[in-house]
Amino acid sequence: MSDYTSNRNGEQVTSQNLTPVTASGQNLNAIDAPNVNNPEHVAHHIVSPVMYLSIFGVLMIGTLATVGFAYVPLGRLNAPVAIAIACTKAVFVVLFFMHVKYSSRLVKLTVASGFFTFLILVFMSLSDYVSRAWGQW
Amino acid sequence: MSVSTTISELTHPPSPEVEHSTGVHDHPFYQKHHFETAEQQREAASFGMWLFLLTEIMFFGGLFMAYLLYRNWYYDAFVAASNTISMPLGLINTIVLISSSFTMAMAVWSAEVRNKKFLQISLLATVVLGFAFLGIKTGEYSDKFREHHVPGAAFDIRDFTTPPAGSKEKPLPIDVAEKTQIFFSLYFAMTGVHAVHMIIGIAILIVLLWKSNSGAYTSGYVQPIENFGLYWHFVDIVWIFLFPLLYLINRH
Repeated sequence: MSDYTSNRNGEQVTSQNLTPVTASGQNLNAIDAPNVNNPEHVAHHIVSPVMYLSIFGVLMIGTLATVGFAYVPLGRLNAPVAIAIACTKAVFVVLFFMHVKYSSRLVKLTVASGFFTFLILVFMSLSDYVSRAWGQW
Repeated sequence: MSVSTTISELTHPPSPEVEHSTGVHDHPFYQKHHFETAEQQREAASFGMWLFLLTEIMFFGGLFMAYLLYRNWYYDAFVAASNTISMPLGLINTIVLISSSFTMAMAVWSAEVRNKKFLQISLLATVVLGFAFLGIKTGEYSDKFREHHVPGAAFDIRDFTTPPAGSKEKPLPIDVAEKTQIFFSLYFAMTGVHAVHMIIGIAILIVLLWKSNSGAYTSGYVQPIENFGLYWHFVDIVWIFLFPLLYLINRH
């Protein structure tokens, strides 16, 4: 008897001891440990203090840069530069301080969907305002 | 058998004979019985925390959307109003808050490597930095009250129609100067709601600090510390956007 079983389509297979395996019987826990069939069993990655300290440094540089650029007359570009720096800082916080870089695909997708929903909020609202009486206030 | 015995059997029935979970299989003390493994519980906990943070993104998102719109509509008023709030204090507060995020990250690390002393030091540092932020914020708010820059009956547009001597601002027409109230409304709403999150955060931090005495968080039960870390970093991210948007619109 085979040491793994297939479903009705003959695709997904599970070994007798419930270890997720590929159709050819390879142990998925060994070749793609963090995710695949059991995202809740993602390996617990401990981010080191050195990493936290370097992210802290990046955030400090970003803070000083955003103040520095605010005093440079760039005209219309000042706001996009400020937002770009803020977004970069936020990405570093999310990926490292909040461990998303080391999280399962479930958490990654959840985080992405949250920011995506916010962008929908902004784009839908703005497209409404822009298409009505923009500039006539 | 007396009646009273019967009643006491009714009110205090013998506990049913249930096999205790530890008798079935081994699991860490913090693992709830409806989870298969501690890893699954940890994943569920951070997934749930992130779902909460998504609602927070949308909560602050509405305010950011309002800001974006009014800043485009009343740009000159926003510039003039923004330049009356103190950039140095905002910068110091940004540094304070990012530092508190760093100490919180170190608290998560301490819990993971099971170092109780360093966990408590990190949590305490986060509390202190949180209070420092709120203290500076209080100073900024009281300046606004003194300058009559708080929206409402006591609001005074004179600083914007006739800028004080030495100011680099151009005098604004009265109708434009009135619109500075919209900036200050958003300023107080956004920084105020942010500060409320800080106050709630500090309260939870103190509870965590108290409960960490038992050593529960440094014997493998990292979730409460980790999930609180997610909350604290989120509050930090909100400020990362608030600082340039409120303090640095058009400095010169």
